[in-house]
Amino acid sequence: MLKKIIVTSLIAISVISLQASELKPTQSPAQPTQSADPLPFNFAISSTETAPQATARAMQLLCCELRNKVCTNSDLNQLQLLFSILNKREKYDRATFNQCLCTVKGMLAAERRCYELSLKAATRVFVKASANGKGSEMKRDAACALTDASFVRFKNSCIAVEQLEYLAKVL
Amino acid sequence: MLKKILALTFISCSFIALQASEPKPTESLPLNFTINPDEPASSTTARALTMVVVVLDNYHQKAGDLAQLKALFRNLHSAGKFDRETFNEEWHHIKGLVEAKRQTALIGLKATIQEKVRAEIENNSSKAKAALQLEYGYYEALRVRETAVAQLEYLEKVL
Repeated sequence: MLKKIIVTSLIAISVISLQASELKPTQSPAQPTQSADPLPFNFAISSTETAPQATARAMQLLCCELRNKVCTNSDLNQLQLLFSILNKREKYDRATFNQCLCTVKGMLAAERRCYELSLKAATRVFVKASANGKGSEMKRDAACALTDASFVRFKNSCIAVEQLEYLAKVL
Repeated sequence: MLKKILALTFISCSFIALQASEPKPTESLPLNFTINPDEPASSTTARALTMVVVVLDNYHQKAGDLAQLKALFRNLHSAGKFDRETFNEEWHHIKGLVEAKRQTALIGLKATIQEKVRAEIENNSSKAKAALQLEYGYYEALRVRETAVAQLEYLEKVL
């Protein structure tokens, strides 16, 4: 009788442990509707990422967009859309946004100053070389090219600062 | 009976004296700031404002530092240790300090860029290279100061 009880118990324990060791069926493999619509700028929101991390990444993208090219109205709208989606998905952190905004503001302001000073310096040399007349043509041409390049960079930088001010108001 | 009363009085007096001699607990706040209950509000506010300078001057600011500053002043408010008069007075000093540092970086950058442009036009590559390196340092300084200006503007709005 005792043997029977022991054997039955052993079998029961083995079955239970076997069941426990089996892999539990996975839940729905993909996060539903998470990546149904692509986000602006192909921005991907990870479910494991925290709101400050996602916001910081989005701000990095904003900074790159403003610095690397002259943004069109459509680009600005897309940036606005991106932040509103982040907000909807609870991946938007206001404190991180404010800190990053100040950093981007500082960077763009410093860059604008840099280009402004380059433009001023190049223009001064160009004016001097032009006034000197003959013998200074090479210097004048070099200064002229540098002035043109500095002007384009300065103009784009000014636009970026204005656009950031606009975004700071609407975001 | 009298002995008992005397003994009890002695024990309670010792206990009260012990409690009084113990250091008063200080409240731990953001940025490791502590509030001392005996310190006047003006002094606590001035101390908190030095934290603003420390954070804004930091070339390697951490994410959340600005939010911590905001939280610190909110805590001071709720603890009744915020003195508006001291804050306004010191705030002007901080603004002046940040602006002066920004101007210093700007003047350095200006002189360096002038040298670089001259060197580039004269085709003096070694001088241009040296000026470029110096320019990068001044640019970094200016970037930090411009960020500090933006952060001060933000804090002025929210505090």
